[in-house]
Amino acid sequence: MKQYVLIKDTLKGLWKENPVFRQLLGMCPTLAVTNAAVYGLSMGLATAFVLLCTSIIISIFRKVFPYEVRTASFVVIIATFVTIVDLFLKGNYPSISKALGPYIPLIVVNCLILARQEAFASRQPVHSRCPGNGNWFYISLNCSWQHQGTFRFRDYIRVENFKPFGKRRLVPSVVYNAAPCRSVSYTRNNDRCYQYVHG
Amino acid sequence: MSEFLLIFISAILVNNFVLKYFLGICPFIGVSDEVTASLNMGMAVTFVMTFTAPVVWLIHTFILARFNLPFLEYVTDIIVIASLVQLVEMFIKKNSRTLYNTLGIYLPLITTNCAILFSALFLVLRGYNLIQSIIFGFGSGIGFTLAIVIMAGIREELEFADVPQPFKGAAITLLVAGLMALAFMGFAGMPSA
Repeated sequence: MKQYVLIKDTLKGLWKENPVFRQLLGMCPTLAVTNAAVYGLSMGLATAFVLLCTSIIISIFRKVFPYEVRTASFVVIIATFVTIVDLFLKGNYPSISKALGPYIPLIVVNCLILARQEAFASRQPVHSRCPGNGNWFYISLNCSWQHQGTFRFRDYIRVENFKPFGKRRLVPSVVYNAAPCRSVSYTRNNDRCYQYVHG
Repeated sequence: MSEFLLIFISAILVNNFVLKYFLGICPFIGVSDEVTASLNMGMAVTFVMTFTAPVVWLIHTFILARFNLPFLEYVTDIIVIASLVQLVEMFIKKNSRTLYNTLGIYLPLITTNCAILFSALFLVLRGYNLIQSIIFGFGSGIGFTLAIVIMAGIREELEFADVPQPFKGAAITLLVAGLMALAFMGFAGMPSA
């Protein structure tokens, strides 16, 4: 039974409640740092780590926080883990840390993480569903960010010289990526939508 | 004087937070249904940003830099922002009941607006002084307001447009955002701070 719930939560996070494509949460890093697949992946992993750790901590101490200041307490916990991630990246992967720049500290205010704490972790005991939630949610997050990265990737193969995982300039190509990406996975009628987007 | 003007104008147009740096996209998409609501949201954000800037600057200069505690930067920044938002909420609630009712749920949401945290980090990164920080915070807030109000105006018109079925809802909003970003790229040639 427990296994079943875990799998159900996984699939929900991956497809039905995909944070980026379905719920439109955490759009800022999705648009800003996916100019190369490697940045998308590292940002996804960083966010996933923060999401998982804060989920566990908040779920354990969920009865300690007074209701009025819960948001502030959550945010401070998130900020602590973001500092850990930031220092880790600065120490071990300075080039990635430099490329992502201020978007790493901005994980603190990623509405996806706060929404997840508010809706899930602060109401569930840690042993039953929370690790599953955090864990699988992060995979879905990674998938969507990889997805974004790949979309840009394909555009570059077409229009510019081919440099996978290389550094390239940031183009405000929201038209290019976000809208087709989203409408592809958003609407029920995928095929028809794909035709609309790609002619 | 011209230096302050340059910071102000470039924060509004050239380096617009929403359309250049992809910051504050959540309220930009979520709260841009109608012009009045988005204007209120923009004003609240501008207010918080303008007051966050000097407080963050003072804390950074006189506490974090002096006692060599840079790793506490994110935690202090977010505490400053959250408590300022709380303060603004209490102040408005006590003094102007009508404004409080109009802003409603948007006020607590400002805490998680990434544009505000980014402006706090950015002024430390750029090494602005106190007055420059205030001007930068104010200009960034005005830039956010400008973007969200234009977006709301376009979306009000879109209500009457014949949008194809798969593009309805958030998809067409993102397309509009992309076109606005393209338009704002025109300001990139201007001198900026």
